[in-house]
Amino acid sequence: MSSHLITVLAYALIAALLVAVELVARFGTARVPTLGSLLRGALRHRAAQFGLLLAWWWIGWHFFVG
Amino acid sequence: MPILLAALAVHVVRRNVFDVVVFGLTVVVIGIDRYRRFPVSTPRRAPVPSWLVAAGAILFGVVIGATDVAGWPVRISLAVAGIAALWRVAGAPPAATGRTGGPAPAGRAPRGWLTWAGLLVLAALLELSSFLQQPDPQTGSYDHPTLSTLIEPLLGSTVFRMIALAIWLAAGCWLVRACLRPGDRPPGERR
Repeated sequence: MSSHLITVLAYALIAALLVAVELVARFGTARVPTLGSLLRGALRHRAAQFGLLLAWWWIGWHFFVG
Repeated sequence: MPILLAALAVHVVRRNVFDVVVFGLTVVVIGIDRYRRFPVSTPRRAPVPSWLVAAGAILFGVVIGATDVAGWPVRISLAVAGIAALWRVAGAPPAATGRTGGPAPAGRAPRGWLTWAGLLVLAALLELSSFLQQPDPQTGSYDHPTLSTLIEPLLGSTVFRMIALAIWLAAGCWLVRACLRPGDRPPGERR
């Protein structure tokens, strides 16, 4: 198995786990907050607002403008 | 702030001038806002309907996605979107308290937040590991691809780019709405 394939599978596994945690948070009984509720809680703080806005903006610029 | 400074340091190493400027300015803005709030310019008003946000995001994705990759329409529209979002949030009243109008609860993370934190840290470590194994900061590696190395070829497709842009703008709108009304949950949303 090549390094490329291992890395891609690792990313895919993490993405799948993130989706799974969100589904468990929404429909399961485990006491895990949804990502949305976690973010809304963090966004009570001014620094988190600016930080997350920057992260969003940077992701767009990085991928669509390069 | 420590995370922002660490990210700023990475961009200095990568010699990405735009990223250094944006991250540096954000650090400055946060510092200024902490000690002296930006003047409130807009009163609290009714949020834009979700269907209108979705329609706008789709229109944005289709129109801007149809233009050349990294062309001037994309640059200008992304810059305007970012500045508009920052302006809207910076000029809003201090953090809202939720629907009851009472004081914000003490800053305590909800139970189970470690699950999210653990997965995101894992993703960040994998990305960092791939980045460090690149031949140099500006060149991707096939054997150890970063997310950028994997996603950028897909963005060559016009359809994929349109969808990605629409999702990006919709995410930004959600973020601005959540900044203006932290703690609030849209009607009908579960948990």
